Amino acid sequence: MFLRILITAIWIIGAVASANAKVVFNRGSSAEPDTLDPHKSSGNTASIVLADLMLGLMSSDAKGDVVLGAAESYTVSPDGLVYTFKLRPGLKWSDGTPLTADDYVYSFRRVQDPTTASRYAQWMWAIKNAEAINRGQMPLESLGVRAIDARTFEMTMTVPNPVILETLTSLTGYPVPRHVVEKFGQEWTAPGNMVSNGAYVLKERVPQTRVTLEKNPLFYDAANVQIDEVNFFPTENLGTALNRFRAGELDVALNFPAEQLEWLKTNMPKELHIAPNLGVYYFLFNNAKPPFNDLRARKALSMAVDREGMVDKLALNGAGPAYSLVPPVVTTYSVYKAKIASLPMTERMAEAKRLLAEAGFGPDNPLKFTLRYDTLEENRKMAIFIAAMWRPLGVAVELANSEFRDIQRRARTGDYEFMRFAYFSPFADASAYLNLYRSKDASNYTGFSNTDYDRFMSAANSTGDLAQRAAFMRQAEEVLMENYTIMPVYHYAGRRLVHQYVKGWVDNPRNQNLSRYLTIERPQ
Amino acid sequence: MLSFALKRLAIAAPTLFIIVSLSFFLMHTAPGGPFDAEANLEPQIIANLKAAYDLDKPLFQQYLIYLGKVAQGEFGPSIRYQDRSVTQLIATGLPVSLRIGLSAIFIAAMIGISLGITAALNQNKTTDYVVMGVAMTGIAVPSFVLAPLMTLIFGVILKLLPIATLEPGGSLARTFPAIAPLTPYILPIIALAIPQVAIISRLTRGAMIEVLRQNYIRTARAKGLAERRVVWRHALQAGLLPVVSYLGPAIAGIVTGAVVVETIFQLPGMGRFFVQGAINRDYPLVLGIVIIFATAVIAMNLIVDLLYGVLDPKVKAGD
Repeated sequence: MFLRILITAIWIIGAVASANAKVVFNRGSSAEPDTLDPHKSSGNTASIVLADLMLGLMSSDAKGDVVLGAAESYTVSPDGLVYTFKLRPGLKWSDGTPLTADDYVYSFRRVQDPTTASRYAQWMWAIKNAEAINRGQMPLESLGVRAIDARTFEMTMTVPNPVILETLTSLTGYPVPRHVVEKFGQEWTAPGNMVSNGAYVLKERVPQTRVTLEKNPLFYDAANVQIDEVNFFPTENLGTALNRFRAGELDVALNFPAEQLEWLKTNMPKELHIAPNLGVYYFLFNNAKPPFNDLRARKALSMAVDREGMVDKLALNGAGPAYSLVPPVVTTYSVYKAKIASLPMTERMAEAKRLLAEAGFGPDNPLKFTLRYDTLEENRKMAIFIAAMWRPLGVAVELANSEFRDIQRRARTGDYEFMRFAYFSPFADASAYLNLYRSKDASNYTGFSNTDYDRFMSAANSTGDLAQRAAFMRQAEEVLMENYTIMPVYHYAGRRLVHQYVKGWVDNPRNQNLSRYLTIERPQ
Repeated sequence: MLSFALKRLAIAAPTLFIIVSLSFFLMHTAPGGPFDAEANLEPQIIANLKAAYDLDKPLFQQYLIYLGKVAQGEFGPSIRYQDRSVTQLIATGLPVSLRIGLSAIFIAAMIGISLGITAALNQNKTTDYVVMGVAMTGIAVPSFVLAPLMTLIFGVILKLLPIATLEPGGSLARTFPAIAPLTPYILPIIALAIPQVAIISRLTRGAMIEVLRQNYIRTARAKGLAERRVVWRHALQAGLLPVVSYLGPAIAGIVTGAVVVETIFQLPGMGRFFVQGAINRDYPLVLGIVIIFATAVIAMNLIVDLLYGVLDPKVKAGD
């Protein structure tokens, strides 16, 4: 009897003690967040923090899929132009102020206000009048959003754009608290001032050291949030990130030095997480200038690069060889399969030689050009590897490197022949990749201009039918790839270190791992 | 001496002006602007961003706007770290850099000067070779090797000290809570001090060897002065001159330029802001730090010149 009481007592004390212990989660982030104002941030450094602080109408689940956020339901009109969101009942800001549809109206207008200078206002340009407002040509009030009542938000589009739902899960889709922004101005994101509507609120900010969030008791799903406090540590030095992870100062590290991969595979295989993401590593051909205004030259060079061999030899672990622009992880789309991918390398080399000869290049007139890359060791290795694979073709390639900003400038001004490039799509949708190669798109740096392509893309961008849209985009990508406009070489894989005691972590291409879905079962 | 100091201060203002002007225009000649690294932005978006920071105005007008702000003691907003102004960023970064830099240089000077004197007094003996051998290693091993190595040993393997940031951690802090706040400073200060120890000890040794051969030292010894008095009172005063002239710029450099150490230990100091600012083309941030750095160099040079007058009777500060 006495023993039983004792055991019960110990059990109760234990339970109480563990219930009182604060669960703290230490996350590595890439660098000091530029700003915690979601409408002004350039993403990258701040997105990961904002995903815990803010809640859009839509949000991401534990697997990174788009799910309902602040909205409990939504409907889309048959033509795909009008979205009506019903907000969850009783939503509140973290200071207790009720959160209504008006907050979303205010926020969506703020994003398009040219004086806000929001980088990603363009993500929402499919909303009626958004682009004109952002250009300063129309008043803010003309934006196609309105609050029908406190819990009903309506959004009207110019063209159907299914990606808008994913857009609502991130930066430009987050609401900001009008009463706080207007009171404090630029200072509204300071600890003590900042009010949020997500699972966490800002507690403390130590510059270049950490951002600390604590659980928001007014969050609609607070009952299911297990972690009480989240620290984000900016660790731009990857060696330091790894050391902090090994010492247990970090529970999750966002990246590690590439040269440590083999060591990690041997020593921490269970902590090592490698999963494909939305990035693609590719090269731009300048389609507008000789020698690459000739399809045969582009095709020959593209065929002669053995992607599988490269991924293996350069130890690009987890990365997938790429013959398409849109990566296979985009699930709403059937990935393009290039015909050359299935041919054996010997056949591809022979065909490449034949094409070059046909285009008039040979031993007496070698194909001469500069391969430009941005100064990073992995890019240098890649450039050397590709040049080596081209050697049998007898091309005279010169390697040159530039600072990243110079690469961007050259891309914009067409001042290159063949250049390394990369694209990390903000959205898991094919249009985010394919829109970039429309003739008139500001980000089409190749000089590629094809009426078929433009036709398929505008058809895709104006239909509300998802299957049809995917089919049009697939046809467009075929045009793009059969013109060998660009040379994709591999699809990126994200590299994470996650301690085994972090439960609920699911690798996903969108890299959405919100703290609210995780639990920590730290060994005592 | 006072008039000398005032004269030097009077020159400092135009010097600063020239440095700021040169930096302003040089910075704008670097390829690319603050928003160019962000791919796939619509031209209209870039135009809105530029307008928000006055970057759409002609360069000379931007320069005048900037000078106007600086004249009012305002460094403007940071383009990158939008939540804080450049003044706020410097206000958080400078104390950290000062604390670490000054401690490192103080420790380095104490150890370096002692080692240098020991080596000089034992010239070409085993002690000399050992001390100078260690010093050479200190110069040869760069801090980006030394710092990660130290974190690996003391942080990851022994778990004695925290690996990064200025927040306490490791078993040392848990065992001795009284010194916990000091623990994060240990490794960065050692990493910063070691190369300085090496340089200072070599400078001291060289100067001391030369001074010890001087006639007045021989005279002092001939008078029968105690060796300790010869070394400390007569030789050291002259022997420290090169060290003092080195320390001036070194302090300014170590306080503002401990970039590598700050990055590896994730310290919130000025050096990291400077490099991040330059990479991001955060013009106001870079200029603000340049002004602080230039002021520090000018101030340190002035102090060195004044100290020279004290240490070397031949130098008259009024000249």
